[in-house]
Amino acid sequence: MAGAPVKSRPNNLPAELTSFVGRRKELSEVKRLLTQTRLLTLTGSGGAGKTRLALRAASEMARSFPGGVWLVSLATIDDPQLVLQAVFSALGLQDMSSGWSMPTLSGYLADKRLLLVLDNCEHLLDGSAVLAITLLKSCPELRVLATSRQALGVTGETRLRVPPLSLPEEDERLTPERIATYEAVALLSDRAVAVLPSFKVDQANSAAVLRLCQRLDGMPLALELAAVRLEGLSLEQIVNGLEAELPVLAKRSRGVETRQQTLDATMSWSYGLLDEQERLLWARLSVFSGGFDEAAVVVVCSGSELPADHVAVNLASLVEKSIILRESDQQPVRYTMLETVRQYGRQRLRDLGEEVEMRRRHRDWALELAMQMSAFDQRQAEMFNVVHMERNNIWSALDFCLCQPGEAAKGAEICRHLWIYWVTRGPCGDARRVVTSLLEATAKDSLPHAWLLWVAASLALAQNDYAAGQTLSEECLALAGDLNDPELVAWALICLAGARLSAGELTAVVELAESAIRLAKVNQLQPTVLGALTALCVVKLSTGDLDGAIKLGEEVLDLSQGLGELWFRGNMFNYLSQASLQRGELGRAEALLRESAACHLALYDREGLSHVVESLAWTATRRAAPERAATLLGSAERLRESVGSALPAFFREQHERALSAAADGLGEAAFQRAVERGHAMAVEEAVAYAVDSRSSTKSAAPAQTAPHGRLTQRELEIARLIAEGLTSQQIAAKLFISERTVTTHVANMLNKLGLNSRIQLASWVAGVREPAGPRDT
Amino acid sequence: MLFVVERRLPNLSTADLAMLQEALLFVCDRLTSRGEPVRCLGSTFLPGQARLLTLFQAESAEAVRSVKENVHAPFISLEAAIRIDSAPESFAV
Repeated sequence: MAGAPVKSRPNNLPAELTSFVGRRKELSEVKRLLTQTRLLTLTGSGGAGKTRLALRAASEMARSFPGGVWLVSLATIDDPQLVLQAVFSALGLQDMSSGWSMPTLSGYLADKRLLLVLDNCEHLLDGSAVLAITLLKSCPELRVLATSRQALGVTGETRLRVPPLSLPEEDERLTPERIATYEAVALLSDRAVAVLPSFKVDQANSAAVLRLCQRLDGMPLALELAAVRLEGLSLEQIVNGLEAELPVLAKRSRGVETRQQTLDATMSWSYGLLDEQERLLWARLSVFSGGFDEAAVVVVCSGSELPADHVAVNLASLVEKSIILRESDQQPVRYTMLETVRQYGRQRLRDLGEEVEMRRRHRDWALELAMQMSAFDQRQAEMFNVVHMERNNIWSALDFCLCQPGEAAKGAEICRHLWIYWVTRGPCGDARRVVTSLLEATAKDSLPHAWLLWVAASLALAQNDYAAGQTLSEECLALAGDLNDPELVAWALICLAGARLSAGELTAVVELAESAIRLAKVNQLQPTVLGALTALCVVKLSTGDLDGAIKLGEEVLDLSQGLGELWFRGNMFNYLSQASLQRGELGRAEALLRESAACHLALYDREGLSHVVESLAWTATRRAAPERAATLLGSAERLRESVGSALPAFFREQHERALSAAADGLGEAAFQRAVERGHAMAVEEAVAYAVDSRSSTKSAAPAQTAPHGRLTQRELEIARLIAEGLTSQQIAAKLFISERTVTTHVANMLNKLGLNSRIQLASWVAGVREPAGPRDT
Repeated sequence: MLFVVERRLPNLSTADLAMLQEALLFVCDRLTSRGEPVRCLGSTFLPGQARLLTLFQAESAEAVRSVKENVHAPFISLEAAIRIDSAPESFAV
């Protein structure tokens, strides 16, 4: 039954790490039912193989779902309020919406024929049911395949119980060949061969194999845990060992609860066979939510009883024993635990009396990650990805801070350092809810409380909730002043400036931003200086003081490059492009927007990218390239939809102008086609199209030629990068084009200029002395 | 007992509000059928402030908390409430 699943559609299904055994009948039934019902729930006890069956069915049905098949794993979520966020995350969307995210999600899914696999719903039944029923009502092409120990209990739901793997009756007399055809035996054999290649069901062992499979009720997870033990134990030893743990049962009374007892007993048996360090590690690993890597395990789980240099070998041992799973496509190697196995480990951790201490250490590890996040250094893009990968661990750590008395201050510290991630990638709503709860749990006159007020203000502003942003900033500013914390005072001033900018109080904003700059500079708080300078730059832009804005912008870019951060830089390139646009410097604005796109793409900041793509649509309009403009307007709309954000009010006038110009230039039908084409583009495709300067010059207007009249603008751009010493590979990465395209451009340039080498080309660039561009042109 | 849940929900259309109300009623029905009686008596939306106030009747705040957490919508507060259906006699004309 093993084989490459069909994955011809977009999906996030994990690779199958082991072969898929049996389940032909159930698989066929799931697929049949999914053509007839829009909500199918696979029910059964833990370890019955519901998830595996659902994933295989989803994979094999992928062709029927042009919108893709998407796994939403709820196993690692404890809070029902995070269910919606899990769907956003699974679909690769960022939730920046300011209110209820459900309409954003249903809007995104409304016209898509798509399959959502909601996995492990049993502990979040109400939340899963609301999600399913609401989305199914508003998205006519959506289908939902859920797995749960208990049905969701929703009208229209079709339920399919996942039975144990097939087994012969206990009193049947069968040949070894016939026994081997039963699913439970086939699974045991398949997994046994992995640890004992000579294993085969034969006359000598068939009775013991059968007894083991029957004793384990044909439960897939129990069979897998037992099979891996065949490397060191005989079948008889395993059966005898299990007999001591398993409950004495009537032959034909095996229902769901009994099978759960069988599974628990198998895990107890498996746990008992481990050595001390392995047992300790299994228990301690249960504090992780959503996976872990070795480095994290060393920090959280090691100690005198489990030395750091023993962690790797013990992890490998737990992989061999099927207690943890090694994900195949991750670097560094990442591990996960089935939820049933994790719950067992958590119970053992409680029995050891270590739960609070381990969760505290896990929280401290999460705090360390968060602190690296806010360092504003050259690791920023990497840390954005790390925080994304560890998001479930971080929510779990915050949950500990909320639930454990006396830990809220540490939670405040995590939030303080994660603000930059949340306002960029979301989910702002969930983050704000956690921050609000932590505010209630911290002393009103404490520094942690003051920082939480500031994070809440930042999140409110990111959600365009300016009234709340102003109130929270003012409250934070007063408390930070009382506590005499200059960094927090400076950040509060910046936030307040942002809030009052929205009210058009420009004089006040200038005073606030200048105060923040002074304070941050005196105290050498460089990221804060970046924030304050940026705030002032935005005001200068708003008032038309373009020289002032550019001067501040250049200061920001210099400081940002010194630190190696990308967040402020990406935004500043965008602001400076607006200054260039106001001055009519089209080429310069486009070059700045390309730089901005590179920064936003590195941080996967979709909202930032939507601004860049929108702005490039305006430049396309000015270049009389209506098709490109319409396509970019469609792409920008799609990017905004994917984060649940609206077009900023100050963009509206130029946006409407670009829409009218593109529609007038193309005619209604062609305009709609171009918008739809842009709307259908994936993020990377949209950005690559937007920053491609060749397409920006395809216009009805006379072609733009380089000042010397021989090279195109794209060729000139590449020539300048060669002069700076970049390789073709580096240029390709920088300009979002292939290396082969760079090579072709270089060959064309050498031909046109009658040169023989890249060195001559670099010298030619130096001789031509093109006017300086935004950063490096 | 009566409880009011307050939410701030900017940028929601009338259809979105109807969707939310339907979700609230759905969770109330589920909890009630499980033996945790809770009724949603209605919601009032203040467009100017983008605030939604929903009145619940339940035996405890826990059931209301469970409703508000399972509809996946952000909330500001959950407070006990008193309903005054008619003007007190002393104010009667």
